Amino acid sequence: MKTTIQLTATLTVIATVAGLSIGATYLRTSDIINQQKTQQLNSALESLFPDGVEISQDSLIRSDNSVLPFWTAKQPNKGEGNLVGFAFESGGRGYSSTIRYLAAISADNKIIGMTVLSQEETPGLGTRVMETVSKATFWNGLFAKREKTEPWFQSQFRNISVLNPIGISKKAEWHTLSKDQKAELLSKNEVTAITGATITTKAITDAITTESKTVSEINEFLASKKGGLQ
Amino acid sequence: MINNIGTELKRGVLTENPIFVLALGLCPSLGVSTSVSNGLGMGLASTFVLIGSNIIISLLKKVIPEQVRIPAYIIVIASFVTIVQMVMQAYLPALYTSLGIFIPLIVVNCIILGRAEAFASKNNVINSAIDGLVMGLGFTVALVVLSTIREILGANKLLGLEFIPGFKPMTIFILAPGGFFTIAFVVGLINFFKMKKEQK
Repeated sequence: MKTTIQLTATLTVIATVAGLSIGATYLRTSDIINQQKTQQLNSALESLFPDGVEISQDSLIRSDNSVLPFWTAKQPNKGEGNLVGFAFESGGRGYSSTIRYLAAISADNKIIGMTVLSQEETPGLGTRVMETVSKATFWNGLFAKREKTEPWFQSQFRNISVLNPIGISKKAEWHTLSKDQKAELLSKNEVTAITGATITTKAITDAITTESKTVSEINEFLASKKGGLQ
Repeated sequence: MINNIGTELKRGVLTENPIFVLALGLCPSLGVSTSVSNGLGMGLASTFVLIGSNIIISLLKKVIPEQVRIPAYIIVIASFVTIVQMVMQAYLPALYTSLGIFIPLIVVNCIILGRAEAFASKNNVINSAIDGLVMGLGFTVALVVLSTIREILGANKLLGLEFIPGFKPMTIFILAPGGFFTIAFVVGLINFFKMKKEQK
């Protein structure tokens, strides 16, 4: 009996001390962690829009009463019609994870840029959404300065229309195509699939196609706001 | 103690290598040994956690009763890892972006619990810290070996850069089956040389 109580008491003390220390650390660090997350999101936003635009946060209440936060980018000192575009965060179910992304949409409903914020897809296949193309090889590029380039999979979404369904071409990967072939894909509103990771590719195109509703809601909201001010 | 570091290092990396000899922590090894940068990151993060948890367990070895030691170890290790993760995320964001994804995986890595049970609970603080260091380094070396093979064969890359221009990679090596093949092959090779040495 005595040992039972003693064992329980020791384990309780250990668990309590552990719990309290985690709590104390959380209180100390949560603000700083949140600040850093905002900073990361801001730098992702800045990389999507052209240089020199003013980005401000906004939110609207959707038809199902949920709040949708989004960001608008405006050309400073241009008066009327200065809206460059807006951006929102969303996600789609991929092969083995939820792929979170940030998409920037222009005033004429085309994608200005999209960037994947987080994903845990299959290494070597789905994770190639983050792959950048480099001509450098291991032998000459190891100590050379690595340029920060945009992943090719994300680049191909530029100027794709969000109001029409986005198609998938499986013939060849975008980074191997010529300029004319890229233009042809764009005219068909198509992107190329990652070889062996069609599910990941489709998850992203489907997610963006679904968000066409969000895009029109934001458009309506911005239009009504503009009308209200006049 | 100091002059033993060399033999201790040999013990961690070769004679008692966590993956190849003790066969501990195989699941995270399969998971993260897909690229050298991942393998190195996981190895170094585990080394850090292993040193820390060995020190704490060794300090608490007189307080923790024999009968409930396993739940006590798990609580201590999981809390330690969570605290490290939060502190790292808040104060060392650059390090966190490269190592952060591995930290939750470390909690479930049986190397940590294995070393707490087999070593730290029976030895003093300094020896336990050294055991954590050498075992962690052994784990790191093993992961780098595995991930080098897998990244070259499975993606034709090394450290994210193309390795042999024009070589078409065998994607299976970067997937889980390739992980099993690679571990089996390396362990087999090590055992082959060991047996040869014993025969002499």
